[in-house]
Amino acid sequence: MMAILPLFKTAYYDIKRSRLYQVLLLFVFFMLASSNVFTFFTRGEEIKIIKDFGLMAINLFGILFILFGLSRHLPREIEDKTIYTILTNPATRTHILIANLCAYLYALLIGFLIMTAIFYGILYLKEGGLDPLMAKGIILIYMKVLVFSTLVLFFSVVFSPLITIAFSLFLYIAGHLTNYLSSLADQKNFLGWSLLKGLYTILPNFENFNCSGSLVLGTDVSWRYIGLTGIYSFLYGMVLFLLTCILFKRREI
Amino acid sequence: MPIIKTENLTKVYKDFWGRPKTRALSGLNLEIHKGEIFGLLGPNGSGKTTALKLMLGLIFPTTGNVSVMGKPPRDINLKSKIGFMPEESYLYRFLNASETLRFYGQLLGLKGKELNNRVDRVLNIVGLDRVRTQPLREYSKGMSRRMGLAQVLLKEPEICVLDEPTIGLDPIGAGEIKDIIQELKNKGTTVLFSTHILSEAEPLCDRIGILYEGRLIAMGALTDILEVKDEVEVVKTRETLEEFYIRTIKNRDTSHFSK
Ligand SMILES: Nc1ncnc2c1ncn2[C@@H]1O[C@H](COP(=O)(O)OP(=O)(O)OP(=O)(O)O)[C@@H](O)[C@H]1O
Ligand SMILES: [Mg+2]
Repeated sequence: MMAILPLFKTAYYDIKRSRLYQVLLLFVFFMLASSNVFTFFTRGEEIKIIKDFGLMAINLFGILFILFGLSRHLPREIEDKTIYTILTNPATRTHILIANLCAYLYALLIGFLIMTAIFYGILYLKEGGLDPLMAKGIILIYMKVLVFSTLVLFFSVVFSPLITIAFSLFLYIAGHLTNYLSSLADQKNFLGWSLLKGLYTILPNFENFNCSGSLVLGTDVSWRYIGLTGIYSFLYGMVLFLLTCILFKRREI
Repeated sequence: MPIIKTENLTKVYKDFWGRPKTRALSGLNLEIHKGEIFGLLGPNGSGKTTALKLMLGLIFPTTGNVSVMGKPPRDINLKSKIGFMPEESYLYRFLNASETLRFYGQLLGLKGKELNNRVDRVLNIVGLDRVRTQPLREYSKGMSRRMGLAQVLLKEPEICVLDEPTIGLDPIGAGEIKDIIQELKNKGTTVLFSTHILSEAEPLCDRIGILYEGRLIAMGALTDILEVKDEVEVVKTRETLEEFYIRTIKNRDTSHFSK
């Protein structure tokens, strides 16, 4: 267990200095800053668009960072064989997975905090106040990216980065459509029905986290809902992570 | 009791779908004794690295068994007792020498003054003290190898497994490594290393084993296996290890092709 902390610190150090992280942060910073260009709308509309744009930018940062960062992290350690040297020290494969996932989630958290600060700064200049609903939206986005991270990590243990990215992206999109999948399930065709129902059950339901639309319009989301969604993402992530550990233990490196 | 024991150890590398690709090691039976220096010899691709990785629990045997100090090699409690220097430097290239050693020291659970002292001492031994703040990506090949050894020495291990420890080193560096190996033995450390350089193995090893196409074709103490060349001379001279090695492999080759 004591191996996790040094592994975590080193992984985080690697992430912090990575071009991907820095470029994405800069990219989102410019995206947020450029939301000022929508001045040709009425004032209320302009603020709505800035909020929409801001939440979208933060979501994009999270997804892209995990998709292109985490998908390559473990494969790179295996490719460079740095994992061999670590495994001949008192650290297990599970320690490595825990440390890597935590390092990414921590870097994500730091990134989100920085962006939230900038986002609120811009909103304050425009609106003259701090809309608490935006914070709720960002919390939900963080929980969504957490689930997405465990998905990416799961694939990265088995597949090459390219395949991991393709699969994760596919499931990300499918995960936004699960409600649709469920409604699509046609009772008459049993095979098709069970397939769609099965997919609906296994896939993470990313739509649960997607409250940006109503939050931007000023419709509140209860803390109870956020709490329940948090429990959902924690449990989903946990189960997937345990599966990942089992899979990685058996894998030949 | 042997400190490392392999029984009928076999490794067949498989592809992604689990289809067999290469038979790298066949039925290896080997016992390494506490405190000895054992040299694993053999041509390129004969399975030396595979054998070492199996003994470290880095890869899984297809069949057969490995035990280290009576435990399975993946046992976490063994890890602080066995040092491994891989054939290339498998260390983080973005860390510098002291950061690297501090990282591995922390994995071992070392802290504070103890950690600092060990890092300083080891950097001195391998001669990287002056470049300790340079990131490993800027290191030359020989410097990287020294770093690999530093990572092993930091542990003060009971067993050292070194995969071609002198490859890529200048003659002085190679000499230093040989001295370090000898010193480890004097301190009671068991050393298992692979090499191609027979002149290096000969003065160092208590026993050697020769792998050929994944099979152990010779093993024993040098005094037992090297044949006495000329009985007539007053001072008996033995063949060199190099002569023995070539003879053994050549014999193997002819038998191999005459079938
Ligand atoms: N990961 C792997 N996947 C498939 N085959 C492998 C793998 N690693 C090694 N092999 C094969 O196993 C055989 C033995 O390789 P190994 O690296 O153990 O040889 P070696 O004796 O260490 O050689 P060298 O002296 O060149 O280092 C070779 O035929 C090699 O191609
Ligand atoms: Mg080798």
